[in-house]
Amino acid sequence: MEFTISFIAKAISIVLFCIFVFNDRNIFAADILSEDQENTAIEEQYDRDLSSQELLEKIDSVRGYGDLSFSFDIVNVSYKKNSEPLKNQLSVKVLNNQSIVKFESPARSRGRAMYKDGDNMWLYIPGTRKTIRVSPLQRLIGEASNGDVVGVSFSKDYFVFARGKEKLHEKLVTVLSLEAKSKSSAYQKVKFWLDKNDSYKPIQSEFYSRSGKLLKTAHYKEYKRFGEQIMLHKLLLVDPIKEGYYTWMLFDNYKIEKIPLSFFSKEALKRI
Amino acid sequence: MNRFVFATLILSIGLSTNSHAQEIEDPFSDGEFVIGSSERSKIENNVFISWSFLGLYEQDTKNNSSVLNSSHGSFLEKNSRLQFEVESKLNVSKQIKINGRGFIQQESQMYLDTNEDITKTENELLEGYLQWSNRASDLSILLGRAKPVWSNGFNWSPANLLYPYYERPHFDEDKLQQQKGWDLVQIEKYFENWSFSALVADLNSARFPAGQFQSALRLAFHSGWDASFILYNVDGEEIDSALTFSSLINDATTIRLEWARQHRRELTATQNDVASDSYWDKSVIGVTTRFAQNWDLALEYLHNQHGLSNAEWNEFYENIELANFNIENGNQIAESVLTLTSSSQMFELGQLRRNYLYLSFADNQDTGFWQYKQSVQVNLDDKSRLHRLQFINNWTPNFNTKLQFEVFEGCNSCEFGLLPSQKSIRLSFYYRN
Repeated sequence: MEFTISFIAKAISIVLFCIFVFNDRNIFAADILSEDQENTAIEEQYDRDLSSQELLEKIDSVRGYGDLSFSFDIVNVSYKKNSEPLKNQLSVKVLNNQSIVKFESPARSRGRAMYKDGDNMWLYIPGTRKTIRVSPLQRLIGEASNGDVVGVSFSKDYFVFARGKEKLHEKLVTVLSLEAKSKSSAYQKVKFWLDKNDSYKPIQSEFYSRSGKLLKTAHYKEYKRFGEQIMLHKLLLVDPIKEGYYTWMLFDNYKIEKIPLSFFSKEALKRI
Repeated sequence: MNRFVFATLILSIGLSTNSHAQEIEDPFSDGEFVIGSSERSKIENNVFISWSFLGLYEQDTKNNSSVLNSSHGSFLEKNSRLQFEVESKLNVSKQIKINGRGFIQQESQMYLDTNEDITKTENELLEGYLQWSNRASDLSILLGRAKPVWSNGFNWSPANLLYPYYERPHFDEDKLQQQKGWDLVQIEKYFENWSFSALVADLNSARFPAGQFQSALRLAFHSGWDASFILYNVDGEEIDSALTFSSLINDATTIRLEWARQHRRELTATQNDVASDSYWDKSVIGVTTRFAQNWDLALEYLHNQHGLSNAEWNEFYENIELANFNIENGNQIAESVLTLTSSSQMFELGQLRRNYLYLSFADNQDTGFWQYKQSVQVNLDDKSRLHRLQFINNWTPNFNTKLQFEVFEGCNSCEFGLLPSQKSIRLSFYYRN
């Protein structure tokens, strides 16, 4: 009996060790990012119109309303080579760094709900009535991860470590390289291409893991006015490795609304 | 050099993908996916009704070497079920909600030895409650039938202390009776990262005298890690307790720990309950990790003091053999049949032994094509095993099917080798509106 328990304890330790060691390794990808950073630094000609913090706030403003609580809907359509596209629909409520995501379709996912508080996320599964911890990086549908469908706050969660100018699609754009303030953020590094001639709206961004691996590229395809604010309406996420794998995200029905603070709770998921 | 070549390759792929992105057609351009006002109002509607339909066919193969399959019993060989489930939510006001969920089913069971074909119709209210919340939504009172779930385990749920334990020995999503709640009154208070709840529920079980109640207090914390502490009591008995903990240890891996101490043994061995302990512990340690492409691996270890020790198990097995011998020789027939029946029923109460390992591997890609789930539950005390293999196909957003195989392996005197069934195949159809 003692031998069995000891054997299991050792087996679990080995599995945990392997997960720790191998999940974080991608030396080559780390090099790519640092080379990229060097290029940015060489070409750097600072655009002093807006501070880096102001630019981050500009980025946030196309996905939210600052400290006000608000809601929006998302439709994700994911494409994969030689497969039928997949679709889901979510409704999202946001207050600062907290979000509640409700799954509206397909029917088999209805009733599921996610809660994000900072870097922590939980998923409620209606069949079993269980609320389990999930990672913001876990894939939700296609190229979209759990962390992509909630509220974002680059101005609070990231700092700019490099800034420069580049030509992208014949446009001169401002390039920002961001690094997460917390080690547990979903994306450790993010690179943004902003359109200086269009209120610094994001045109493109790249998301990197802790090890420096490029996880996805986002193309900001369309913006739309909701009330007083211009918001992101259509986003295209592309897998950087696999050709033909991409996900369209439609952000719609942005609405500022009063949502009680207690609505944002892990325990509240089962009441939604 | 190698790094440079690799980096160049990745960059070139990235660039080619980016240029490809320019040609990707916008699926939203024709307005097909745009969320219209009617869909929006459906989301916000005060009355929400959904229904689902399940059709199921299962065929079991008899384990002829099991001593529980004597010629005196009958073996359930074929089972088919049609099940209709309805769930409704009514928001009476911002503060009052009424939820209900129930099902009706018709089940046909065909027994191998007696050629009996039994058809029965069942219906059950799984949940039906009224919930009031204050204006700040940080206090709620729930009255009616509901199913609180406190366990965060994947396969075993020691922290779910409310009795009876509907979901044991394992959770079967096709068996809606397992999702039945308890008639209760519950008060919950939410703080920023804390919550507190207290409940009193009925005890609808022949194991307890009529009119008895069960009650529980739960304190839960969530932040970078989750923890909860539960105190549970049945009138006139000592207080049981449970602890749960879970945390992410990296971007893809969750660790879970659970422990429960109870003062009533889970297994009600009719003759062999030689244990004289005043409490029984049950603990689970588990990790789940998600790999690229949404492959999930789960590993759990269960230590269960409620289970039978080697001496108790030997006595349990010998009593089954003796009951068979007595029936064959015409001695103490009624008592022997009772022994066989109660021994068979023990398998439905929970894990019969003390140490188990659970390993599962699942492809969670919602690709519309066959998803694959495989698991094995190993009884470490006698090395018998339960294998489960599932293929799930999402044909449309509303319609999906599941094909499930189960194989029980082990020696004749081992837990999974003693089960009446040797293997089973089940095909389930689901339609959800």
